Amino acid sequence: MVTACPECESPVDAPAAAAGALRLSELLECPGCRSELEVIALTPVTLALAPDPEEDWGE
Amino acid sequence: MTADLAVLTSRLGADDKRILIALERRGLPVHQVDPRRLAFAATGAAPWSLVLNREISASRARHAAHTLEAAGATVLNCAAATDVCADKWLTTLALRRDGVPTPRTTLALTPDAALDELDRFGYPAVIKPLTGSWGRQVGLLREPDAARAVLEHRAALPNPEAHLIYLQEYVEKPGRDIRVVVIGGRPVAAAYRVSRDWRCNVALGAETRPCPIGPELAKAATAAARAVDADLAGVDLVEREDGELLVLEVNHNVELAGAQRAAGDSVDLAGTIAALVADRYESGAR
Repeated sequence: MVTACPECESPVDAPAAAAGALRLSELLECPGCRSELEVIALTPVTLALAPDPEEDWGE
Repeated sequence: MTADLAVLTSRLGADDKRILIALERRGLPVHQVDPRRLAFAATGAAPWSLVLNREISASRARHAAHTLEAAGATVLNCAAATDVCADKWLTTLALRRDGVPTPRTTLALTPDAALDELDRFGYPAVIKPLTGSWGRQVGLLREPDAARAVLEHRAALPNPEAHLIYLQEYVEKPGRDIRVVVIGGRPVAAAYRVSRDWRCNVALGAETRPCPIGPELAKAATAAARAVDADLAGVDLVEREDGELLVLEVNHNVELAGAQRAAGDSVDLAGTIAALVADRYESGAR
């Protein structure tokens, strides 16, 4: 399904939430502004800007 | 406690999604759990019997692992491994204890002590933060003036851990380092990480190329994973110009994309991790 980027409002084509194709906390990239987006709700699909990396993030 | 298993992850990237799907395909009762929404009482049973810890925040990963283990769950990697891998100096100590070759390394407990030590240690030297990944805040100190400037900045940082200075020998290498993914004690994939930068992190733009896993590489990588007690490990190694292999660090929350690209279809890393988790689940971690 198509939803809007919360940063630039470009359409973001997210996989359908049905059958597990899209999941909570999943990361998507906006094709318009290249922002990293996080799926914060599935019904309806809602995107937010993904958090910035913190100092202790990593492998 | 239920017999279910959980995958802890606050950022569901492609690696973790593939692992989740592989676990679901095996018919396992798997729950995707976001650690940002977890709170634990100090007493009580763990909500899951087996936990795959893929949390990107080292602080959250360590404390979730300790708490869940104390509550009776089996956690991959175990809390002790996560603790050690999340701290480069503890990793160095574990590697040295087990006789795993590493570059010459020193921990100075203050920036001033580091500056004095560098006179003996020699230049160039690599300075790293104790915690962190992707080559962030890793610097090459080529001479005393540069060292003095960097150490003054470290001294001015508010976090006391920033005042602990990890210094490592700069190893002249052939424009690449090596990442080996070790799963269940087995080196299942390796990649050269090729870069024009002296740092060879994929996050900094290094390209990955296939790397054969010869006996020496397999021995060093599995010994490193064993030294830190990690069932799942991304072991980073560097080759001296004479071919000697040295272990730089071990990552407990290994990213798979670079090694998977290099390995192509010869191995399915997410599937191999799922197989290990399934094996642990079926052999009694419930």
